[in-house]
Amino acid sequence: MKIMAKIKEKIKKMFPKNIFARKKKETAPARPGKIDRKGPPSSHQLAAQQAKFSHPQQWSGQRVSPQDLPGQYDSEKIVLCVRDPWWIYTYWQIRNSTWERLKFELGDVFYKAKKVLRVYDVSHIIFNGTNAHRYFDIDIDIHATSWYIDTAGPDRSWCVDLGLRLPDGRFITIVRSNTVSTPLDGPSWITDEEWMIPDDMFARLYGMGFGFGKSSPVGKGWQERFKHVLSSGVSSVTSIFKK
Amino acid sequence: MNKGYLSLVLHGHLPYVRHPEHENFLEEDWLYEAITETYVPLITVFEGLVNDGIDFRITMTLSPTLTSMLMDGLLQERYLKHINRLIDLAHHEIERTRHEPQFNALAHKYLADFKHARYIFEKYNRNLVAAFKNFQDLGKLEIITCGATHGYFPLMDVCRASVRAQVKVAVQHYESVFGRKPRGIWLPACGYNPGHDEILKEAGIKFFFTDSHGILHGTPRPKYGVFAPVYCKGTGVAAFGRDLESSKQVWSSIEGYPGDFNYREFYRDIGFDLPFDYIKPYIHPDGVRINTGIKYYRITGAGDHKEPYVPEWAREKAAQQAGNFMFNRQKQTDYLFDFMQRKPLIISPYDAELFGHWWYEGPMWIDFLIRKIACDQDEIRLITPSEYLEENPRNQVITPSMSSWGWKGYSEMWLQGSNDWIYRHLHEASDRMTELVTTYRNSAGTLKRALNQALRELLLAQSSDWGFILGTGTHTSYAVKRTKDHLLRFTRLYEDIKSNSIDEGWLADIESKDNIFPNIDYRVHQ
Repeated sequence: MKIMAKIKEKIKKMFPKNIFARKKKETAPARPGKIDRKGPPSSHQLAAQQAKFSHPQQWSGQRVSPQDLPGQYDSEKIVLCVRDPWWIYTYWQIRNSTWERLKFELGDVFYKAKKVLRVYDVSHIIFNGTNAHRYFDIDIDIHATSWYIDTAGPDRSWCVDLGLRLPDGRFITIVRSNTVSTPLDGPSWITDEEWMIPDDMFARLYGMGFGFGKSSPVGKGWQERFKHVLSSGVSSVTSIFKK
Repeated sequence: MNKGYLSLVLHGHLPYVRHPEHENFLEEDWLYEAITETYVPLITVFEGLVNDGIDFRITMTLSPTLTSMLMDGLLQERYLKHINRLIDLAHHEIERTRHEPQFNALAHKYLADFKHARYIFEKYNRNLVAAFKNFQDLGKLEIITCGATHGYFPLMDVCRASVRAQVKVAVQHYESVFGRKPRGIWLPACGYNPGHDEILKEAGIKFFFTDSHGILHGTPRPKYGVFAPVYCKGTGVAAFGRDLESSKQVWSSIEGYPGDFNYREFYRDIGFDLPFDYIKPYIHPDGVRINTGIKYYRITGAGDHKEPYVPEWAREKAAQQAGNFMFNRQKQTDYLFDFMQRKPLIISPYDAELFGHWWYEGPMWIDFLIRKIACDQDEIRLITPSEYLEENPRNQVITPSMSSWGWKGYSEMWLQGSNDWIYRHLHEASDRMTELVTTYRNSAGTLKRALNQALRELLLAQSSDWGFILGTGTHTSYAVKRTKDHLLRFTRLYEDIKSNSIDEGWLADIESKDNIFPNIDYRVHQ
């Protein structure tokens, strides 16, 4: 176990946070800074990718600016996306009519309720709303429509409800998200091995085993030929001597 | 007898930029620069190898957007104008530098380079895809496909119909261009999410690539790390993992090859260096200074002081570095062979546009590397993933881990404060596209054209390039414009289709502007 922890530690050093952390300091002395490095830390890979879109000066020409996209759409939903092993991103859209309905139903309590993201750990289960391993709440700004959530939990599955937490502790779900899984941030502990040869490759090996060269055996014609080989007695060298 | 394999993978991609509505369009230069500085030099290297009887194997993505642009008549016409203008400029440069021998020799070199680019371009009837196809038909190059418009799949996971459309449109397009199905795919930005291999399998794709941690953090643990491919659990699609050691030798900003002081300095271009009145005819008509491709200086050192470029020194360095790269792969292979008791496979993928455009000497480096591998040793053998799987069909079965080769290894490059706003709109459009497909299973005439165009607009909006540019935070206006333009066109089509009020004139207009994938079938989006 100690060795594994060491390996994990080593790999953590190799991947990928530290790689990029190091690159941040390096900032390419060989390439004096024409690329704006305020963005993500640079490496040749990033710089080269950016150089594809070489665009040395801000566009100064006149272009028809498009009419704008709507602030939100009519569909009501909350969506989760995975950013990395630790963070997930969520955005949501709720119809005004839904807020109005809640105001009507809850009366004054509505104004005392907290707008909350309830983050459920739903790893390895089919979530039914009550069987999460655990959950935590994030109180969100009343005007927010998106959020980055620090799950601190690689290799877990997550589902989020946007809802209201009432002063008496009750929680009202407004919308429930899709389920996402964060990836591992190190090597897997599972070491059982499974090996495979794809069917078409096996078919070819199978055919070659009967001495038919590299073409794949398919169809009835081939089956006949196998039968023929098996029944023709060319099964071993010794059989020739016996005849 | 070789002890291991090396797979060089060049990922060739540019987003679809084609603006017939403007006589000159700045961002179209991305393609023209890449033709002159990357694609023609690579074709030249491959031709040289074939002519000299040097056997080689390279795997190369030609993304569907890049392929479409290379085959587009308007852009071909415009490239010819572009290269002719550069030839004109090079002539003026020879004249201007006649009393400065070092610069004059370089001006002559640029004139020769540009004329050669025009020669190659015309030799293949302006269609460079035909050149690459030729090397594929000769068995030297394996061309793989990519997402139709390089959409970043992990952030499309919530609407897999879009992932499916990206894959299927790409496969159909590949078939129409190359006359056979693609065996492999470069997932845009190497972005993999478990389960997407099911879509690849449906499309008949046999293999894809991930970054190292995509394999190394897979479950169960991969016995041979990234030095053998794995099959995805449940689908049997093969995944090849990037080798970081060989990547680092090229990419690292400290010890990476392209940073050598003898190499050409990317940022000292006469488009910026020379007086405005002189260079004006060769930059953008609005007076925006641009890279011309004529650059006279070498990197020289860390500071701003730059010395003139000496091609012979750079060539010498490229040869040395090719030798160094090969030596390191031999050592790596030697060690891994003993360790694994099986021939290791080293996957070294790079952006194709790194070579030539960013790293001027890159194509030369590839040339030296291939020749050295063919003639100077027999420990490593160049191989394509398809060939490797033929020779080594038995591989471990795992589920690779979600990953990308972008900044920090996951999705943050495309999902941060500066670009996260796009997903609300992209996902909504995906859902609406699925709704359209469900509602209009059968269609004909104008309705069918509108539905097909809706899918084109959605795919074009999904290009990860826009999110990438927004993420870098510089010169974002074009990326914003493209994202919004396509989404707005999609939205109007969606509304017009639903209300049975398609404006045929407008439809024809956007069909002629966003003319990619002429044979698209909207029903793949499901």
